[in-house]
Amino acid sequence: MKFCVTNHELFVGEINIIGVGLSSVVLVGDVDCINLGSAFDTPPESLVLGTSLVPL
Amino acid sequence: MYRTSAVDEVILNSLASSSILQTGDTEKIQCFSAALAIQRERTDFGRFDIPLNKYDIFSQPVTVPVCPAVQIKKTFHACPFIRVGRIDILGVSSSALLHIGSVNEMTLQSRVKHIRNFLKNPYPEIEEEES
Repeated sequence: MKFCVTNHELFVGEINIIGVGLSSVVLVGDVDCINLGSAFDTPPESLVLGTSLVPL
Repeated sequence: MYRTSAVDEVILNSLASSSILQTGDTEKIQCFSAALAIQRERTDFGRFDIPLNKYDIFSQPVTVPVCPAVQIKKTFHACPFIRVGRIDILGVSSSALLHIGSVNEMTLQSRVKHIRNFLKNPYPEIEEEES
């Protein structure tokens, strides 16, 4: 695969972000390779009754 | 190879839980975050010895697409700068990253398990229907 890039002028006036969380990234620059993975578990079974939180 | 990033002003309110504000170029970044988010009916301070490996989500592999190997990559920088006037961020948390500069390779992963903990069943009628 041939991959040719020409970068011209890049000027951003203002970036306004409320929050960056959970292994997210804000990048001002160049990057070759990004790997992002996320697992988020909130099923109905996450409802735990009683005092013990640890599954058997 | 990479461009130079020029940021005039950075306003960052809070940086929490293993987060990073990095200025300058980086070769490799690896971040990992494992969180157990417990919402309890009653607060119970002082006892928090729950092993994370009891929950499947912290041991299951997360499938991430692999970057294809680019054989021939040619980059020409007509303008060798990335200019940003102002960055205003309220919060960066949980192994997140604000990076000003170039990176060769980055790998970030997060795992979150939510638990809603009630002392008594708040939905007794639902359980009766199921049984």
